[in-house]
Amino acid sequence: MKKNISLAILAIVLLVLPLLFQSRYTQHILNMILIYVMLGISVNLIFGYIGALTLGQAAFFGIGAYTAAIISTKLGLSFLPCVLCSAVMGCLAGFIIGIPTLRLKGPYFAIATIGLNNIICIIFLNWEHLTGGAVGISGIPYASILGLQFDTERKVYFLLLVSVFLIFLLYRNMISSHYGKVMIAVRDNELAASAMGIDTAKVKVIVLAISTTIAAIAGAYYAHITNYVAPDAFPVMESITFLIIIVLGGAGFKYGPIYGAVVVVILNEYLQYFEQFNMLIYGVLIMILLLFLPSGIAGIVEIAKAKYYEKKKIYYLKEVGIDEMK
Amino acid sequence: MLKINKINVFYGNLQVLRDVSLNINKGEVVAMIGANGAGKTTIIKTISGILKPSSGEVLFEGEDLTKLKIPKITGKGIAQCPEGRRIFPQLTVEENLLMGSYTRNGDKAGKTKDYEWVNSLFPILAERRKQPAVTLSGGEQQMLAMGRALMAKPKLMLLDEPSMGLAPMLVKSIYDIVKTINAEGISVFVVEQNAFMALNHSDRAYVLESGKIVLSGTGKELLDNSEIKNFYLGKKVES
Ligand SMILES: Nc1ncnc2c1ncn2[C@@H]1O[C@H](COP(=O)(O)OP(=O)(O)OP(=O)(O)O)[C@@H](O)[C@H]1O
Ligand SMILES: [Mg+2]
Repeated sequence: MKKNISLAILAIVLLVLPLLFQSRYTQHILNMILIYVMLGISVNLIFGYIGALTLGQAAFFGIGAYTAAIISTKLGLSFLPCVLCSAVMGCLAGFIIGIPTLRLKGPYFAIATIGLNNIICIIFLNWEHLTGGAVGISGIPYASILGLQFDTERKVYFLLLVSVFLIFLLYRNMISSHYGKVMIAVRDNELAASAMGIDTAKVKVIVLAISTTIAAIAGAYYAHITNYVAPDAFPVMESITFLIIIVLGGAGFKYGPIYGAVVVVILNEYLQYFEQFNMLIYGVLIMILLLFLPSGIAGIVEIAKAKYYEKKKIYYLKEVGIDEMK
Repeated sequence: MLKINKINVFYGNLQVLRDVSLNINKGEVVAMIGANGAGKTTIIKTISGILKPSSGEVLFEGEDLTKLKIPKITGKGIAQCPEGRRIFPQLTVEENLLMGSYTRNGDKAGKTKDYEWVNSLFPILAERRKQPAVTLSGGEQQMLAMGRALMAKPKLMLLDEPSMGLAPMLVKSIYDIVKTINAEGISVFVVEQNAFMALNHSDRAYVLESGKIVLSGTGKELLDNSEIKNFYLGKKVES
């Protein structure tokens, strides 16, 4: 009951939020947060729940964006079919890349994904007649569904809100299902998991493919919102940003992507004022936050909830490495 | 039921098992004793498919396991309770147990029945049901690892040093459980440094020294063997 009321309040806040902020700029920030929540979910599945450190997620975001850009401008397909094609491409790419690379352990997988990200960017840059080279592709139409055009930031907000909500529901069901527990078992002790009869390689590849599908869907939305894609939007630095979302928000926590996306987007925006110092301040801030929040914001929320509802649980949290401060 | 034929196992250039042969009949408790580094864990890992022998075969009900992947071997009815327990720390006790029954798709009624059976074998697990497994004591983790293996409804259970790090009282209750499990028709292969306990609770036993089987016989025979008394049972039995 209590939960339903808080959910209803959250829904109302989310629905009136864009009406409170009149400036296009603030509405743009809200939209960026929503896109970043999708990307955060994507990274949380493979890094938070499987433990494979990815530094190449921007490649799949880019594959989705370019797929939508090419299909909408060259073939004239409308928004939803474009999203579907991007999703299929993201999924295929996840399988093709996951099968050889997920055998690699720890840092080797991370380095392989960096390599992959760079290769994809080089393809975007050099396959000119398809991708437009360094200039990229412009003139991507606004998203439209059944004649309804999403051509203002505010309309886009509602489109994103509904989409993020649906993706979040699927993600939540996945991680709270038995399969979600299997993912955690694979992450925490791969050898023991395979001794239980779990085909760990298969689990990892499937989760990666789901994760890259979501990243590619986010890419399709991005293309239709900005109406323009270019190779410089998908560098390894962007993959690192996606990772920071999850590390700050709380890796392996359900709501980690939401907390992380809000903080990272707002930080990024405010730091623009510092011009050349922006990366420096960003780096220092992230370091400080991580020192004080080793399990991310979601970890702090867990501890606060435990303090309030169930004292005994605090002790469990400490045991699994969720601590207030290190 | 399980027949190992002259397996040779290497870690790189280092040969750890030399022409090891042994067999486990249906319904038996078979022990293997040996000092640190003799190769006991290596045998368990070879049966469960984590390691592949460079020669020799591991036949389970007539089928060569060395050709199969680890998850397939589990599916054949071989469950293992590895050295150092290897539970899933972040999952709850209940979720750990359910993970053990991963290969039993469908069979919901059977799983529920076994879940209740495991909880009756280890009442403490039922009490700790919702706790993350990392919060269990060492002895409780050993019980959880055994319970989890039982959830696979195995025909053969492999136990790697179940008494390691446990107080004598607890070691005794672990071996009582082995007896109960065996009475349900599950064959057990247990490797141990704690020779006294293992020999006392097994039908037959093997002695492994530097990767070679040097002696075998019934548990009682080996307990009375003078060399075993000197090397593995120490003063305790001499006096
Ligand atoms: N991964 C490995 N790489 C190289 N050598 C190994 C490896 N694992 C084990 N060994 C070596 O193989 C030998 C046998 O190891 P094993 O773990 O089978 O011994 P054990 O009989 O189980 O000993 P313990 O009673 O201490 O558990 C040891 O000398 C060990 O150092
Ligand atoms: Mg050992």
